[in-house]
Amino acid sequence: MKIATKKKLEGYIFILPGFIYILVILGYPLIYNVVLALRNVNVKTFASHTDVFVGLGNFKMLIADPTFRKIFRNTLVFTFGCLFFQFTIGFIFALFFSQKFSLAGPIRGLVLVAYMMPMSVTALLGKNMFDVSSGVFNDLLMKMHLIKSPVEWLLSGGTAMAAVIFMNCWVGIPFNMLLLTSGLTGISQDIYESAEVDGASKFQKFIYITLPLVKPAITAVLMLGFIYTFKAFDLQFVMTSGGPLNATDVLGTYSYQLSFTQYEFSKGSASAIILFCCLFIVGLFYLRMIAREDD
Amino acid sequence: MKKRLTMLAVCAAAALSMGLAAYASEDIFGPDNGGDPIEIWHYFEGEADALNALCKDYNAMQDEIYITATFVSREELMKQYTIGAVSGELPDIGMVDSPDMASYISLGVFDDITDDLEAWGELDNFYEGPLNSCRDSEGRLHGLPNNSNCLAILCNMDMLKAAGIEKAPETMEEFLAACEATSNPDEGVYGFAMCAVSNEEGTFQFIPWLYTTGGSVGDIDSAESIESFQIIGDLIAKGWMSKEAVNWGQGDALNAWAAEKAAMLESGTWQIAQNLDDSLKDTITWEYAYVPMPKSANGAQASVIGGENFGVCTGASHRDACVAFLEFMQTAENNADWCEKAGKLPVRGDAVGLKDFWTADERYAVFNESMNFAVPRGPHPQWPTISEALYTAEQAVILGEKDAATAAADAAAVIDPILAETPLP
Repeated sequence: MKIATKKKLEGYIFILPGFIYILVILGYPLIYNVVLALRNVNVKTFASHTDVFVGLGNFKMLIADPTFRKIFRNTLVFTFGCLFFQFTIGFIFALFFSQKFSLAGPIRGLVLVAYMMPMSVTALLGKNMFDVSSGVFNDLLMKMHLIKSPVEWLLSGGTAMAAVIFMNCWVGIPFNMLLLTSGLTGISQDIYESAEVDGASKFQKFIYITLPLVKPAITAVLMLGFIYTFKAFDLQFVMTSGGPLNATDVLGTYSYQLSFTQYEFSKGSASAIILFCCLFIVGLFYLRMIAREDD
Repeated sequence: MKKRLTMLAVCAAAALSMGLAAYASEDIFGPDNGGDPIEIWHYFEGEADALNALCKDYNAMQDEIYITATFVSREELMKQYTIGAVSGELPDIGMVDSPDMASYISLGVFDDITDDLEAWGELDNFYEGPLNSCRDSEGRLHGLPNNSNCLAILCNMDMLKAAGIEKAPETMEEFLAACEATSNPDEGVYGFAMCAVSNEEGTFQFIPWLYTTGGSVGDIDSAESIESFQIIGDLIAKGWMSKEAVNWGQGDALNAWAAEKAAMLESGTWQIAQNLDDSLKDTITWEYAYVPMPKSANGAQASVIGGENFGVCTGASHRDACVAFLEFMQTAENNADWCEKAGKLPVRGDAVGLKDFWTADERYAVFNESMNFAVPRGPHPQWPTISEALYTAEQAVILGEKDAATAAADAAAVIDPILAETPLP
């Protein structure tokens, strides 16, 4: 056997365990899900095995369904709303905590506590904090005389979505800060010093040095943020149950509802596949960007 | 040396925890009788001790099987049954909320045990409504009902009397007058509290209003059904009920009543034993009374049947022994004993006479009486979809998103095609 062929074979043997793992753990459920989405498996057909192949029928039905369209729109609003606030505030926090001052480390550590909490606990906190009659937000706003009567946060669509975005940012800001801080600390101080010698202002240093050099971290934060937020489930499930009237339902909670509450397995799978496709496209885009940067 | 000590400590801890677990299990379910292990999944909380005691008694009686009961939260239990229908990973015996049973029978979760139960010869003693919730579309039985409950109105008599109302309301007119008299929305105090949350609990609490006005699930866009949505909408519009009902489970609504934020509550049988006589015993310092759901102007009155069923899961080991346990669990004596301990209503007519619990305590007597006009939910394999249409319509009216007629028409658009294909019994 030629040395090159032998080396190639060795390479395949090395990746084989990982490949098998991916095939079993990821591949099988994915393929099963696709098969389900192309048939009409539901509570009537499941046990009797009378389900038939319907092609893209479930996808067409979902796209024609106003509830699904509303939920898809909710998912986009939730994702981009969270990304905007958690990235902007996270970046400001990262810039702030990358300055050298006493207690910077411990305070940064405290900010991270929110990130370490399980999402279900955060959701329960949110449910209580935004409660109309006993929530801390209404109590504070009333005491500060900013509102005259309690705001019905979780009882109308707009404020409920704002409340859910707020709670997700509560967790997302420390996560963004953490990743961006590591990007910022990687920038050599020498560059800033030489820019200062050349007479660069603080704003110019930020635009022409900080931003370009921290760009890989920004891309990673935005991509990971998109993926984590787009497939959100537990926050909405616990905090609002997707309500009021589907106003905070997202693709994750809707797929669950279709499959496990209404036993519409095929529609639930089709909804999950739409969710997967969106994330897959973003993932591919991210990988392509990384590959281009590496080149 | 240090490594060896650590290993020893780990082994000792493991052995200790296994021993403790076995001891705890024996303490709850009785000493090992040498039988094969049989597992029951349930979501009973306040009633868990009564169920465990029953398992313990049965384990002492025979040595073919050794039964243990595992608590799984309701949401998780439903999910596990659905996953189990695909994977086959099911318990030997499973508990399910009665309106969900038809769906799980359709999914193949519960085995057909009709022949065994007919050979038992006791089926005639069961009430028709609860027993029918264990049947499939062909009338075959897949389990036995365990208990029943229904809804009535719980009144804070101190609040009613302070508002000049001496008697708990019996008619719709009196009920609405009491709501008006006791409400003070500016102070966050309302005449009435109920659960209108977006799950089966919300539907459960809405059904009595639907049938009181003469409406029905099968005719959800009729004038009578629309009137029921209108009553709920008016309670909100007039400031007699909080919109927060859409986020309240039945426990949350009870908490609002216990915090004196509501004068009246749509309350379930189980709340007497689990809350009024237990968790809220020291909180409730005022006089309270139960009355049946209000009678409408035409004399119609309705409540709703709730309760849990037990079935033998498909592929259960020792299927016949599991059926025998269900039969033991539901003998007239055991059903009466269990319901007394758990604060529920029996599912067998011959169990009622064995105790005076349901008539001597005037609170339970109200529920016992209400069972005469309580309506079942379903049974229907697509009940979850029907239920979703109902609570969504109710929520839309409460939140002011739709008027009663539009909400009812939207619910009909979902429910009518389902019932056209498979009608309600």
